[in-house]
Amino acid sequence: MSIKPIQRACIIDDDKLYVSLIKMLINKNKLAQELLIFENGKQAFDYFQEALVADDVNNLPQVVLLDLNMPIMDGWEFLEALEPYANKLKASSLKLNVVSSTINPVEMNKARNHAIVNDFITKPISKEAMISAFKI
Amino acid sequence: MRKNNEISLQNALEDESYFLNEIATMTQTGGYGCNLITGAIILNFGSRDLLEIPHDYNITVENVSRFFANKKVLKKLIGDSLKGKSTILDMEMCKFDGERLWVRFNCHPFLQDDEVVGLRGVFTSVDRYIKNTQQVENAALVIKAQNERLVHFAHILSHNLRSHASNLQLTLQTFDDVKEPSEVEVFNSYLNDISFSLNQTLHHLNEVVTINTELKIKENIDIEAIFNNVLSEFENDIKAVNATVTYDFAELLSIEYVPSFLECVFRNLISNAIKYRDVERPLKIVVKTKSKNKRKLLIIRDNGIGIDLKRHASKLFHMYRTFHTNDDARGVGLFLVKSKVEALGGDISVKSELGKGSTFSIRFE
Repeated sequence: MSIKPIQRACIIDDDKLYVSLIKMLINKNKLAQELLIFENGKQAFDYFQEALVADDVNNLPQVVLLDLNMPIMDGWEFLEALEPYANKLKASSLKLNVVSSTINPVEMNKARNHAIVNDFITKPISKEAMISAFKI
Repeated sequence: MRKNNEISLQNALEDESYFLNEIATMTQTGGYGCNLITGAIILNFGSRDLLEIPHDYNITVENVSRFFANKKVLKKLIGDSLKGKSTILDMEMCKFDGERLWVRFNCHPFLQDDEVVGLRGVFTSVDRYIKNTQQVENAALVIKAQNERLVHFAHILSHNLRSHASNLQLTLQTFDDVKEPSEVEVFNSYLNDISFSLNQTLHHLNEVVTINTELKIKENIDIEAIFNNVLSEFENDIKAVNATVTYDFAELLSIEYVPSFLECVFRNLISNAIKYRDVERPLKIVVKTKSKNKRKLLIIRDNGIGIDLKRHASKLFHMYRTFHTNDDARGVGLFLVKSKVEALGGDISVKSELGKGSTFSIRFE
């Protein structure tokens, strides 16, 4: 099973080991040509905001894997900060997935029903889930 | 004869004054009256008994306020009565020796020719019930706080273990077909990392669990000695960042405390102050003790980067929360400090301003 690699993917997660593993999975399965990595919501938001304000949607990734529990700015705060740009984001081909080990059904539903969120994926993410998250 | 006896027996059994006395004794009730024309205040036997007032002590409008804990309540009570209004309320009275007593108290105006000329009523002790309720409420608050901490603790435990399990699964999945020796090496290093993290989580959990299970033996400890001991652990760091540490324990030199708990408090707060110092200015740490009334306080102030309390106040003392980009911040420290301080009946609070510094206050008991 092979799919056309996307241009740019983005991981927002503070777990370094998890990030290296996802990086390996992406490279091994040739899922993306380029990879953006942010340790927390704040770093990611700064990058997103710059691209969105400059109307530079080409700089945005096509697929985002967003963790929830992070220091400085967590996943929910990141989504909230992006709220003013919801329309621009929807107009771009961005597919944002929340990837978390939470087992709280409230959080899971909140993520699934969030306007900007495409899907909620439970950690550990399987190879199959990764491949389907990278289908755009 | 027999008939006469029957009548007197009947009368005796129906005697109202007997009932009133019994009611007063059983319910701890007393009565009072106040003659507004002469200013005389009459307390019956039950009242004097309840407030432990000597029989020869003369009560007048001048000295009656000493029996009321809250003068505002007394003023309102009299004001309302003079307007012809009756009052019934729960309030605190003071016994002759000053000891407080909760009573249910009523007061009715006594009228002559449409004019209030007297006040009278009864009061009954509800002290036992009010104090029981207060005790139960306090116990409920403590239990609620403990329960919240346990729920949070369980939540963090399961989250951390899930993260490690999830990374282990992902590692096995990613390396399912490794053959190259270089890949095997990477695979092993990942397994090592996971094992290390798992061990660290268990170590932290053990430390938290044992706070409430290990014997907490309080000793009379010299605060300065404990502080200097802990400070010497940081000697190199303090020199390296050119920090100044000053202390003043004059107000409270020693305390009954668990030595290892106080060490933990100093160690974590000093280490945080060094970790979150502002690189723009040399670090200053000021440590002092305070003793006010029955409150014994330890205050640790730094001029570091500070904490944005608007955003983080509710989560600050939670386990595994870190709010800075420093690599070694793990968030366990403050959680442990809080748990230990609270395990001995005290609490910890923080004041902070971004860019100015933080002040942690520990109330010992």
